[in-house]
Amino acid sequence: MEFVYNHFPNLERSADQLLQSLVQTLQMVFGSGVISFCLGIFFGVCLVVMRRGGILQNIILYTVLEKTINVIRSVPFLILIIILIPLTRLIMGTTIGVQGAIVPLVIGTAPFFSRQVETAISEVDDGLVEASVAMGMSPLMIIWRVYLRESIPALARVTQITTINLISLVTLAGAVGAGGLGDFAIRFGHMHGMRDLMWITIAIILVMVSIVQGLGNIVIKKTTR
Amino acid sequence: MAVNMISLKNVSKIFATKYGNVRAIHNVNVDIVESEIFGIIGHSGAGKSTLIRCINLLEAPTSGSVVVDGEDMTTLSKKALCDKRKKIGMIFQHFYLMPSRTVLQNVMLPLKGANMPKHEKVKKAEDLLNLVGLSHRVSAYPSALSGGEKQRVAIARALANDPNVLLCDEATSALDPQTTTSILNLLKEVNAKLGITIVLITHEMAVIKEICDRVAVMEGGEIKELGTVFDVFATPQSDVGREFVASTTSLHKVYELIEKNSPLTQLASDEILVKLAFTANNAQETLLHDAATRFGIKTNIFFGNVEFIQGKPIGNLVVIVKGPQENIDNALNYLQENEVSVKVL
Repeated sequence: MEFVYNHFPNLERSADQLLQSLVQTLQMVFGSGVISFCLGIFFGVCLVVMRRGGILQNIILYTVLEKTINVIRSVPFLILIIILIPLTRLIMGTTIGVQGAIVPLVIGTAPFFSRQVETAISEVDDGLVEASVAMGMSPLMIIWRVYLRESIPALARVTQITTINLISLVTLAGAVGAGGLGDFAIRFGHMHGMRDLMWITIAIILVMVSIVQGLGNIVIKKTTR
Repeated sequence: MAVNMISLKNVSKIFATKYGNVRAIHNVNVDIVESEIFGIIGHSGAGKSTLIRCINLLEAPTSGSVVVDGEDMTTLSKKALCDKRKKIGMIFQHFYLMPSRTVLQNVMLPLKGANMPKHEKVKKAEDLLNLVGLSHRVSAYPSALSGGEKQRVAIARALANDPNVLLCDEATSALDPQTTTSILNLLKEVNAKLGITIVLITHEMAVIKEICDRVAVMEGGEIKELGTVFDVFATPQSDVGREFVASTTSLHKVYELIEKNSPLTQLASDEILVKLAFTANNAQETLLHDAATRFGIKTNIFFGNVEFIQGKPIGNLVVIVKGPQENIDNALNYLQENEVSVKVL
């Protein structure tokens, strides 16, 4: 402990704030992550099954969904947060803090993840789907037992990428009032000139990213045949 | 009394593409009898793949009716169609086993949702794997199997719901000749044991010859001829039929030699080259020898081939006949009277 306080002189005073910021970051990553994961899987599956030749082909819905995703994805995240302020206030009742960050984080992440899920699921051989139709499976069964089940390694891979992306967005949201490690790094590390706290923040985020990476790799390894 | 298991009536399929409509199959009428092995042969693009997909409605026909085991597939509701498809097994050229599931789980897959306790499903799948000779590989994953083993698993999976019909889409086209034979033998065994109706499509006449009872020859989306395999082999009626039959013998090489004026086919002035086709009724008799001794001609067999189709012999001989013109004519007449088909080349 002596060593830590010697090299990071400002840590002792700010430890509480740091811990609080970490909790906020984790809340934002988990909260928006889980919601984005569900939405992304849903819309990603929709894109695959509704496209031309899909098992629930619906060209109109597909086109609407596809264009919407493209439009949202092309808006930079910082601008997205600002234009979403009225919607965020409507849904969450506030635009700051962890609660205020969830809506823009989800809207910033889910479309990206949907695309990733679409790509992952598209890797499932059309022949497997045809064989399943021939077996008498309903579209819902095919989605569950074939599309999702057979693409678990690919889904783990894109979840990994998206989560790491999300961690970076959460940090960015800290700059505009969301709190968390991004906010901590800016306030203490930058504005108060406490460089040691900046390094600690980076180290914590590095650990988070490594954990995500490691967990993803385990899932991929266990499910790849 | 033979019962129709599958009845296709005026079935047509038109694909709309960017470049206009493509007629994949046109006005096909076929009745496939219960428990028979029915083959459909054609070159790629002949429409055979589309046709077999019309039977379980993987492709919905543009017009016409598809009756399987007394029910018109085209009029079923979505739910009823799913249930009906459980009674129509299908296997594919590229097997399409689920890579993330073991052999046993693959065979149990069609049983998911069936009203049956888990241990019965396992038992059922194990029995089927036993039937296809793979009971020692239940916990292997498909990636660890050879092509022949994969197709055996696919057959077991296709049989899981006790179907009345098994559709085979180029099921042996990705396999080597030896494995092809073993898979065909398995299909024959399944047909004999379970009485299941088998429809198979292929571009290899050898497959038809090996296991089919009847065959339809397709070209340009139409059925050009249909009959027992023996009849089609003995007396093919269509050009494409003749071509497929010729593909299984070396007979076409003889024609090539003649066309090229090979020295082998150069004839003396008192010689002619004749093709004789024998069928079951006369293949065992000593007709050629009789003709030679009775009419004083000499024969030299230039090419010979005897096939056994459905246990009956079909023979083709190309013979150089030497002798006075009158004697040759008499000899050929004699052969024709004995139902040998004679063609002077």
